[in-house]
Amino acid sequence: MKNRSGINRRTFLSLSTAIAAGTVAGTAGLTMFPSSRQAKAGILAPGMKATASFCEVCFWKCGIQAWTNSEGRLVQITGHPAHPLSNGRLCPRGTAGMGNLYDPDRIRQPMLREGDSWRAASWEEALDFIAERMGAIKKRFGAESLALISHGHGASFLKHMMKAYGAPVGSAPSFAQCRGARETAFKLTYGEPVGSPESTDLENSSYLVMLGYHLGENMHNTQVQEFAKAIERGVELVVVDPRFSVAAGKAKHWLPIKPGTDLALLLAWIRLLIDEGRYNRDFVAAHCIGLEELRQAVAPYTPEWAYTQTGIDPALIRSIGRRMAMHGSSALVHPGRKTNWYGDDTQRVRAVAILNALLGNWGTKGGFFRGSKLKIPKYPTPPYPPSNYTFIKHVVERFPLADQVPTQELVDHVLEHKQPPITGWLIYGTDLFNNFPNKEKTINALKKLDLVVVIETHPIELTGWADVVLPDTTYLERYDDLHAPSWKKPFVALRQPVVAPQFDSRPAWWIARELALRLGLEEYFPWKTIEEYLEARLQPLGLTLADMKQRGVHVGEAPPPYTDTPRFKTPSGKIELYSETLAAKGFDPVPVYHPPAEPPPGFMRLLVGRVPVHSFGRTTNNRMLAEITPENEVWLNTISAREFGVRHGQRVRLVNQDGVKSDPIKVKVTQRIRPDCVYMAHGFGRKTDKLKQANGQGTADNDLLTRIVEDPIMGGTSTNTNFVTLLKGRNGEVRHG
Amino acid sequence: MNELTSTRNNPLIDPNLSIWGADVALYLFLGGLVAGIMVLTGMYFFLRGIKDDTPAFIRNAMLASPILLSLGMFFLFLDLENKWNLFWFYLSFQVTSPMSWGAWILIVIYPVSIAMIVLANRDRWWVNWFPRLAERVAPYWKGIALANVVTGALLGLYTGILLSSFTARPFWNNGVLAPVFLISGISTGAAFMILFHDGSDIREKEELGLMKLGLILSEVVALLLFFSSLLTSAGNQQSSVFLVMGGPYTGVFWVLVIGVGLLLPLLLQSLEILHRIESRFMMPAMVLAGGLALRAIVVHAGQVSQSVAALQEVLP
Amino acid sequence: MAKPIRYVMVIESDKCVGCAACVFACKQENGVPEGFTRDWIEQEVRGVFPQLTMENRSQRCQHCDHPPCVYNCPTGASHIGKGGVTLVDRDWCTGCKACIAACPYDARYLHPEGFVDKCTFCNHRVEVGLEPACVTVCPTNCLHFGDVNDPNSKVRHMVRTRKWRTQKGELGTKPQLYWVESQ
Repeated sequence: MKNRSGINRRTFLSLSTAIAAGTVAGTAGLTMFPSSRQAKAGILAPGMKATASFCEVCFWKCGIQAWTNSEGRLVQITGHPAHPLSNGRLCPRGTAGMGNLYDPDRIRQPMLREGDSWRAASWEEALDFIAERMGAIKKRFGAESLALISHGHGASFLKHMMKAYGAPVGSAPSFAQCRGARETAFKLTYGEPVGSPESTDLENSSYLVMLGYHLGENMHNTQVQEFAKAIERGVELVVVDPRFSVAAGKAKHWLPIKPGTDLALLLAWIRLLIDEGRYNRDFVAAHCIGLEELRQAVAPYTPEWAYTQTGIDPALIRSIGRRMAMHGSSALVHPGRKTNWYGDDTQRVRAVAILNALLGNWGTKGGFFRGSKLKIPKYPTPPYPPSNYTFIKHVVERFPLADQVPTQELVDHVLEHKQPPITGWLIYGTDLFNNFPNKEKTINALKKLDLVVVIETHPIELTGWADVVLPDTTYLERYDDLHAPSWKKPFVALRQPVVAPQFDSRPAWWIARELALRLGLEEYFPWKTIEEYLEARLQPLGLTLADMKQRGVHVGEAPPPYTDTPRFKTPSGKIELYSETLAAKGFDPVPVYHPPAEPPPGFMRLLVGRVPVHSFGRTTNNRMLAEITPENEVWLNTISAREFGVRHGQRVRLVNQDGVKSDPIKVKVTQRIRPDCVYMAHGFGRKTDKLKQANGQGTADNDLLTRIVEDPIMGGTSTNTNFVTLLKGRNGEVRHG
Repeated sequence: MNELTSTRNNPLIDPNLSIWGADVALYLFLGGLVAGIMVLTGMYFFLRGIKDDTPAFIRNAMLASPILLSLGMFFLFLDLENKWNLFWFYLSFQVTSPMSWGAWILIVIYPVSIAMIVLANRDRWWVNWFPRLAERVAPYWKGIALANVVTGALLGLYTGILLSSFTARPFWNNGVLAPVFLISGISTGAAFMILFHDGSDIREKEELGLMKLGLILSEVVALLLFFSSLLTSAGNQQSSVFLVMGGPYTGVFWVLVIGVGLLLPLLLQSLEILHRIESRFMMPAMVLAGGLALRAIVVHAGQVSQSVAALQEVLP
Repeated sequence: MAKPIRYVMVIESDKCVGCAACVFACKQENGVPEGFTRDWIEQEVRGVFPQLTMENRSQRCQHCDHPPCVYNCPTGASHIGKGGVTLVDRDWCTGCKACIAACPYDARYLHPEGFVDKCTFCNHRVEVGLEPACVTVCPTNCLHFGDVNDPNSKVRHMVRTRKWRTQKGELGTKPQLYWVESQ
């Protein structure tokens, strides 16, 4: 697609942080705490005021109390005692949320690209520009030509605006690059996704199996709380992970599985439960179909066979399978969250779903609970205009069972000039270059677009490719829509500003409304202020905004979240152990195991994950959190280290099977990982000097993900399918630094 | 295999303790030197009486001691982080704190050593400038001399007691550190005094030479006891010896403390006694250098010592 | 005869995941300067692949019954306060650092303003009936605080009914952080 005249061929332009136009609310320096010879009194200090809200450093949305001091500066964040997701406790990221708020590197005002430079612009000018473009695109190609890529609670108003505009094409990387495989697998099996927060009754599990799910490094507050309660209650824990994670450190059995072979293990367990008659007969008889087909399909998968694939002792496979079955409905094989590993992920999570069904733990205590949510009517607006939404045909053709748009599809669509044309992207809170692999392709797509709007808090690399950059507020500076998820107890939480917006940042609800007004869509935004909107939404619940501002959360009553009579929204109305839907589309109706690719000699598989104080790239510039973890490390087994001749703490570069090199990264020599793989935390390796803390710290695993396998069922992109070795110099020795 | 990671990275604490450096090492050296001078000069007067005219080298050394001590205390003052609160040392006495003892000892040293200076220089004009000062002090000469020996010994010992009380730092934590410091201090005090000796009085020179030899040998014995004490204590103490036997301080310890500070002076002193050579400057200078090196190594190695076990695991 | 209040912590390290929420909560509550910390996470892994064990520990001052830091302080700035809590009076501290050298747990640090600082068991919160900030924030609820001499306290029950260990007990400091298992 040719660029419109007036805009030069898009090139990378490092976003300059111009002098702030708006008030700078005491953001000088990083000394968060006034010096004093007297001990600071914390929340008891005179003038301290707590504002209730909910967090968004990650996307769990725990309730918080944000404490401002007598000067109005946010100095402390604690967990909201009444919020069911925090219960008064908080993870390190949420606690250090003000590090994102007061980050001096934040984008300060709207920026417009003008040829080869940026120009600071007023909000009016920037919004006028975008609205004019959007109007032009709609006229020429139709509204569907504009896509919204988003992540985060604030996006809800932008989605509403886009639908009103007539552009239903939206995408969030949280589908194909995170939970998509799991949700697709569970929908195929049980008729519904696992959801977020997950409907797993961790706290009451008596036998918990986690495959790669590194709770403890993954710090979803409530889940860690429940995990700890389960440990206290004596849960038998089995962790299947090539790496000795924190969770593995608490396990009764740590199975250091060969990466990529989890499906073999799951199929062996399924076969064992059926073969030895240990599955939950009553439950399966009442609620499942396809047992016979399943039995036949898994017949070859004996524990001895599984050993040849996974390296796990067959006697151990048997004993774990038997104990799992013994615990039955209070045993839980956790389905994970980020499940896009190898490209066969829907099938792998299908096996997890099937195994859980054989245990009979749907709707049971210790299994998958049936949450409830408060029904809050939407704010009344006219129905959205009809849309062709022909774009989705392409997605469905390629990935028949995707119910969301895999974000990389938008990239391919633009690059391959597919019809209908997509000529513009609105990107909200989404770090595209870090979300999915092959950054170069994304850049090429960005170059071809007529309109790129990036709404962001921080000057991430992506902003350098935009036409317009709009400074978003952090969650601490704004109202947002109500949060009322499905949970063990239904509740509704309010997000409200704790401090005034820093610099000239504005919230997404305001941006959406202003664009809507300019596009003639005021009937979709009939409320003048966000308070008006929230008051109206709370009213049917018998709540007032004033009350919610004070309390922060309202918890409803519900019966215990278990049921003896679960219902399933599958075509058969039952749990589909054998999936007709998959068969009809030409996929394996019961998962079939295929061994993973082997690394070339001298190469190891690259695995990625988290560290507890960060939320991937969202926090690597947060100086408070960076104090503990400023950079990532590559975990290398002691034996491998000896062979390579590297020592703990030395810096090396990794090079993958396609010859792509990483930036320097510190080596962690450890016993905690198999010799055939390496591990690093995702989100580091920033390459922009505008993010002064994160720039050049560690390396980006994403750079090394050049070989991708797409899940044919729903389009997930694999993250564990690349192999790396240590870069050597001409003398054959590993290069340091 | 033990993999221990910590999120703590407090300046001066991590990766190993580094709170005390050159300031403290210099003070320890100067304090030990003054202690040695006071013990030796005090004993001289206690045994010889005050009738004879005090030899110049003794008088000069005694004059130097309050100046050297003030210099040492200045370095100590530099080490304090909260210098304005210095006076709090003198508004309390903490009976369990060797540092509190030291604060008071340092104060007491001044009148005691000045009294000695008055006694030794009672014929000089600048003493007689204060009317009847010498007369008033003279009758107490024996007590003053004894007081010099005792306070000098306390000065020389208390720093060793202070460091050796820290069970947290195995290299320091043994009973022989205090005597090592005292003997080293007396040895450096003697070396300092010899620097002022012009060598004219042969008999005096010989006596001094023998005394110096005895002191060097005493220090060798003290160090042997120091190491045997560490090597026969718990594992932490045994590991801490590694710091000077293969670890990072090995070179400086064996070259400066043992070689330059003890063995070479021993050789030179022996040769001098046998009338083979003359060494008026070299030998004392070496002893002083060795004394300073000893203090510096003890200060630094002790702070590293807790993590010595970790050091050994990480080094190839 | 009621025994005096003695504050201790009981820590269920098998629940701890080493997330460091306690570190940030403490920094904010107590104004700990950037680059310094009063509490910290230790992660210890032993063994050889694949036979490994792990312990995560949330560490801080042990508030010893026989605190070498207090004994060595020349001015009495380091002292024992209410409940056996080891405290530093900032106005009396000269910054001589003897207490830092004395502490076998390396729990103290030199504050940029020249005095020595460390965990105070959030005594300013305890006085009004709150728990220390680290205990309040901990997502795994592995930190427990209270008066071990109170017959009804949770910590008393825990030290009486569970196997506990302390750190470097052989040094005779009688530290008051008790490490237990949750089951």
